[in-house]
Formats: sequence, structure tokens, C-alpha cells
Amino acid sequence: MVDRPDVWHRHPDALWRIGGNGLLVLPPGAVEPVAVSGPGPAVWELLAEPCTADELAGALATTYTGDPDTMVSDLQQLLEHLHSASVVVRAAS
Amino acid sequence: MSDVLAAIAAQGLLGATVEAPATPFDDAAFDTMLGEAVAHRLTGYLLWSANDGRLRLTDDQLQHAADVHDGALAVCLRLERLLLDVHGLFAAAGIEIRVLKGPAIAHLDHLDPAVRTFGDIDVLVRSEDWERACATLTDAGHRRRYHEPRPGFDRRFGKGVCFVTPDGYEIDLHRTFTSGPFALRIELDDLWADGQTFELGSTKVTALSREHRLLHACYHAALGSWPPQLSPLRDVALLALDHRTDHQRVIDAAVRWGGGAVVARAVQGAWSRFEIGDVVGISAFADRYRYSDDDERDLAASGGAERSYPAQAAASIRAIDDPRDKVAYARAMLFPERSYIESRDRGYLRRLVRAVRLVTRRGQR
Repeated sequence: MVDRPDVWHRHPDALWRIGGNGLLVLPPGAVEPVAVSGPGPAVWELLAEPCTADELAGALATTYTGDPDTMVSDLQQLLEHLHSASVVVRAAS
Repeated sequence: MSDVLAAIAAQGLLGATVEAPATPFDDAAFDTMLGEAVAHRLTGYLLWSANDGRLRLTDDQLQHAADVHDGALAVCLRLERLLLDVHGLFAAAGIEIRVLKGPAIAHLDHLDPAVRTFGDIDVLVRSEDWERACATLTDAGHRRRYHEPRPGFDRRFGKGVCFVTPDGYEIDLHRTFTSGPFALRIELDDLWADGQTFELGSTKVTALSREHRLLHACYHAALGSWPPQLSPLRDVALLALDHRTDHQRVIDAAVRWGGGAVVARAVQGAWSRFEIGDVVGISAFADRYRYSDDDERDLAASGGAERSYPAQAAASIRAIDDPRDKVAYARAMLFPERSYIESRDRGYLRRLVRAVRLVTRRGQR
């Protein structure tokens, strides 16, 4: 049996803005917004539709350079972090 | 500094010609400008102007502005969460609402809602829902800032009331746009005839129609703080310059409500402040509007540099048609309940002085 990659998208009840330093997201139940700088706004834009870390890396490769495997690994970590903060959710596959 | 702020507020307004200075700011001037931009809720437009090259900032100044703006956005996000909570409370109580001002203008009238910041939430309810709406917010732990002068006053004559949440945010519960004679002539059923929805997270909330948002912005700009603040003036210009706005509908409503002078003053103020050369339906209406003596008197009482509480009360009494309502309004103004006076933190003596002024002015007419 092959593990399917996680599919992610924005938490439907997250409130957000693109601010002066990047993405600001207020997840449901939180008092303080989560700030994500760097590629945060681009990642958030892509997460309007469900996608995997691989798909995110592929889309971001047009803007950001780097080793593709490292990029996928970094994105995976970012997504796990955002998931723990209820900023993103795993989509039903 | 006010011209710089006007240039910042005009960012993105098609047709506005007011220009920011071409020279960079020293740090002291920048700090002053940023402080004023915060006070006027213009940090989004400031950052937009800088990123657009219309405002010349150093890298450090730009970073400082970005940090300050992000702080304002964090407040907006918390307020939108509060708005959703309030929306849920009222939905559970079967009370329909219209979202007013900041969040509605940010989401419906800006391509990027981040540029339009706000500092409280404003919600409109029907007069017949007034007491239940107040009770719903009180039961949820929000504290009413002021009591009404006499029982039933707010439902019949009031603009609304401010509630304060346990963590200090403000919920302005409105029955109408403002207080005073112009507000008493607004046909409130018009505001509920239609609306425009937008999404906050996965929840759809309803705002006023675009035309009623413009009218509300005009009432806020013309009858709010004096001199008029830049943010509501910008809302007026933005909505008036939006090609989707039905100007004739706005004009017809303003005339029907006896608010032509309010719209004319607000639009003239916005066109002047932002040096807008374009002529659109509502600016042509404003240009040719002839203020009557009653207009001048009611504007002075409600929204000018010389406005006063007694003058507004006297003008309001004139605006009320039903003699019994006139009596009820005057009685509430002259003899409010103790709880109202105490919530306003004013003593009976000052109230008595105001009452005497009101009676004297009426006697002079």
C-alpha cells in the first residue's frame, strides 16, 4: 500500500490579510494572528485550492530557486506548523 | 502635514490629483506623519503609497510603517472575529443585521481589504429588534457604555449605542446612521430593502447596498467629527467614483430623506480634499445643490464647527413630525433618567445648564 501525500488547504474559518511583512492569519479560537513572512503570501494564495507539498513546491519553483527536495521538506515542515496552529487543514482525499 | 495625509488617503482614488511631497522625510517628520496616519487609520494607504513610489521613504521608515500597519491589521482580524461572534449571537436570536463601515468597505470596495483598517465594528439592526439586540449583547457579557435617556428613547429616536467587550473592543450597535435631525428623516426601511454579502472565513455576512454605503459614508463624513476625517471622506470618494454605483439612486434617496445637504457637503468635501477633477453624477448634484436656510441651520447644529448638544436637540425636535413624539423627545432631553446621566458621567448641574440653554434657544425662535 502506497502512502498518499497529505493534501492541504486553508482552514475555512481562518481570517487573514496580506500585511506589510507577509501573511497574517487569525485561526479560529486564537487571539493572536500567526505571521508568515517570506513565501507565506504565495503559499497562502496557492492554498486557496487543496494541494500537496509537492504541488506547492512546483508552483513556487517559478519564483524561488533551490533544491526541489529541500523545498518540499521545508514546505512540509511549514504546513505541519500551520496545521498545529489551525491555520491549514488536511483535505479529505 | 494635513496635505501629506490627504495625498496618502487619496492613494488609489482615480481622478485625485493631490500630490505627496517629492522630497524624502527626515525621521522626525516621518514619525509625525506615521502617528497621524495611525490616528486616521491610513497606514494601509501610507504603505501602498510608499510601495507605489508616490511617497519616498527610507528602508528603515518603510519597515517601521510595515510593522505599525501589521499591528493595525491584527486588530482588524480580531474585530472581524468579534463580528462573526456577534453575527452568530444575533442569528441565534433571529435578529437580522447589516454590517456597516470598516469591514464592509474593506471587503466590498477594495481589491485588497488590507489597505482599509478600522478600529471597531458597527452593526445595524431594525428598530423593532432594538431591545432584543441590546439584551443579546448584554447577555453575552458585553457592557453597554451609556444608558438611554428614558425607556424607549433609543428605539424611537436614537442613533444607537456602544457596547464594550470584556477585552475592551467596541461594538457600535446602530438603529440608524447618526443622531440629530438628518437621521430622524432617514426612511430606515429603505436600508433593509436590499444588501450585499461578503465572506468572513466560511460565513456570509450582509452589508448595506453600495448606494446605501455611499449614503452612510456621506452622513459620517458630513455629520461626524469636525473637521471631517480623511477616512470617511475617502470612503465617500471611493464609492462615488466606483462605476458600479447608481448615482441617481443615491440622489433620489438623499432627497427623499431630506439629506441632500448632507450628501452635497460630504461630496464637496471629498472632491475638495483630494482635488478630484472628475465630474460624476453625484458630484454634479453636489455642485448645483443650493442649501436652504433649514439646511444651513441643521448642518450647523449637527455637523459644523459650532455644533452643540442643545442645538442638535432643538433641531431634532423640529425634524419630528408627530407632536406626541416631539414631546417625548423633549422630555427625554430635558429630564433624562439618573442612570443615563450617571453613565455619561455628568452631573445634574451641567444637565440643567444644557436644558436651560435649550429652552432659551427655543424661546428665541
